[in-house]
Amino acid sequence: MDERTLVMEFEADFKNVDIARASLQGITADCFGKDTERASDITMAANEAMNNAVEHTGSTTVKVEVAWNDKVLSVFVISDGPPFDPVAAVAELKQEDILERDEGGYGLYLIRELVDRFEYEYRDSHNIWKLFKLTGI
Amino acid sequence: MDMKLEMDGEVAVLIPEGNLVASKVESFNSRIEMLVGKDFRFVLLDMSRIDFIDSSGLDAVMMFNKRATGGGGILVCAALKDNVQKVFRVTWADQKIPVAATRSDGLQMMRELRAV
Repeated sequence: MDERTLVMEFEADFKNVDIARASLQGITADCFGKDTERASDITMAANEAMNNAVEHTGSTTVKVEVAWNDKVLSVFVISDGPPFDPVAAVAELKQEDILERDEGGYGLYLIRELVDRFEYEYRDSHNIWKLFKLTGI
Repeated sequence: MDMKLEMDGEVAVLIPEGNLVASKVESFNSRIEMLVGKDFRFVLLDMSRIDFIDSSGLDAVMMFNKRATGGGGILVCAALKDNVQKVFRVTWADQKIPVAATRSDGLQMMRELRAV
């Protein structure tokens, strides 16, 4: 399969996250076919990354770059704002921390647990969260 | 967010419908407030019509559970779809909130928890 891409840019609003998620659900259904669990995993992880961009970065817009081929699906969530490294932040989270929580803070943990690879880059005053899920399994 | 209330004896069965996500949490909370108010004790959340949940939605369920148990009540979640169940499992929410496979299992679980 040749690589395909989709770029979405939207005003930072949860209602727009719903629309972006619906687009992503279409792509993941195409990528993963009957493996609905892996399709759902990356959709949920991307949803959390978009939510974070809307809620915590102060960015007025969110850009989502999706690319997929027969090996991997990648979702880059890009927002303005001061640097925040989610990969480093979630690396410090332990299962015991999550077990003891009775509310809040599940988003980053969900991303870590649901993707195959989670990377971060800060470039040109943009936070870029990079989520990867293998499609060729 | 659309939500129905059905009573099964003393148990309030809430049936929300759609996606339980950040854009719907406020509506979810206000529907609960409207349907069961502050006087509920035993609530079964029938999640069979929840297609997708995110961490904000999970947070709303956790807060609802905290409110219920804080007042001496019980919340049981039932009939979770696979993807919703996975969120509960990954975040260990299923260790903090009683979860049943079906609505009837949930009602049975409620009876057993009330008898303890």
